Amino acid sequence: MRTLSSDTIAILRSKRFKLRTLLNLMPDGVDPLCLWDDRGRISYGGDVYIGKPGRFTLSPISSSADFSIRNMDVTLSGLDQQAVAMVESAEWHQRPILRQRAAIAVDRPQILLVEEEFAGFMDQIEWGEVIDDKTSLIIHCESTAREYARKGSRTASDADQRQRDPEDAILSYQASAVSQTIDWGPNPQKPPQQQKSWLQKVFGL
Amino acid sequence: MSLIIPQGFPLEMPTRSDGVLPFNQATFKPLYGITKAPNRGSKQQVVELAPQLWQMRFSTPNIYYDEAIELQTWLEMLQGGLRLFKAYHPHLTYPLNYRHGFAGLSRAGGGSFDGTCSVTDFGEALDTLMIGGLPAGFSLRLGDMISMPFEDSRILHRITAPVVADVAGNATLSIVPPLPISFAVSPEVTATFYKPWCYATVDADSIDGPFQEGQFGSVSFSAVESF
Repeated sequence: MRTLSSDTIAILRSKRFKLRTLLNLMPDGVDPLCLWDDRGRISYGGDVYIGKPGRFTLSPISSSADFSIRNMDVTLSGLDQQAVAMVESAEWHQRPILRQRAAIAVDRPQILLVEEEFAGFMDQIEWGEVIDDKTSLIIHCESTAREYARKGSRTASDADQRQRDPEDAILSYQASAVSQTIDWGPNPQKPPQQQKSWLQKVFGL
Repeated sequence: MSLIIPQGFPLEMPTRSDGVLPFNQATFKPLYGITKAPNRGSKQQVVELAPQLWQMRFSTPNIYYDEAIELQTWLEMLQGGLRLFKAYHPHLTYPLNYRHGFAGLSRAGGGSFDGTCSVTDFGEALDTLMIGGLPAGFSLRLGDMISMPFEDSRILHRITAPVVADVAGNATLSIVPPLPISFAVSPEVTATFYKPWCYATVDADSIDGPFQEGQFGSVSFSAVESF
């Protein structure tokens, strides 16, 4: 369970705070590239995020509950040849990427809380056209949900559950829950027959 | 009157031969990256999504075509915003109490005063700035501006309360917008009240003026602060 300080709760309740995006790219062979969309640098979680407002854009993402893959594109613009060489020397394919949203206090430099928005892998990299010795880089990412949709041999049945634990009867009523009568109480008895009304007697109901 | 068009990027603003900007009207107003939402408790939620930027508009008095074409040349050097320029308010070249310059002013610690000062500290809320190296009794008014370097860019702030420097030449300024979260006074930060400027990007679609031969009118354009 997340614990928030009373100061943090008070600030969030005041409904006045700043939101910033933290982006952490983790290619292989180089240090993580951490960016955020404000000025200057901040340190969070052991990483130093470089302020590059306007230098990177993120495509909108949607949430899902059906384990389908969510995609996100990261566009880094204004890259010079030195940055291009750094990108080319690193291994990016299927390396992790993390996008987080940070709430920051208005009246002091304090990060109130950080929420994960997207966690996934960098899949493809696309270079933009070089204009005036600068170029852009588009990183196509896919979410970790891609690992959750694989189907196996497990079923939600008592027999399957007994294979895991012979003593576990949690699913013993799974297949017949609709028609299975479960008696409650120490001495189950049939309910007394109710007297028929005169209409029921007349029409033989 | 011929304008002095500087060379080298980021571009300096064009001036007349007496060093005065050719613009008689200018506005510097904040561009907020804020979203608002009322909610059930009648308490409006205001969340900042991006740091504040200065939005500017410059206008000249009515001028003839031959002077307007010089300004058009300067604007074209900005290549539609690909190049940055150093923007400052033409009416705030000096603080409002010192419109004619700093001639004759000396720092409290000795030496002539040129409009620069050292930033010694800042408030926890990032909305106050402690500065030193001023002349004793140096006074600033509501609306004066101050700028200073920040990493590889520049930040520009407006003073929100009148202040007078003490006998040691120190003063505490109340400013908007707040300082960046990672602002630090080390290594040494030198701020300036003389032409307080920031980097800006011109809005190419906003450029207007008497650019046809024989015309007489005002040249105007808009720009936005760029980090």
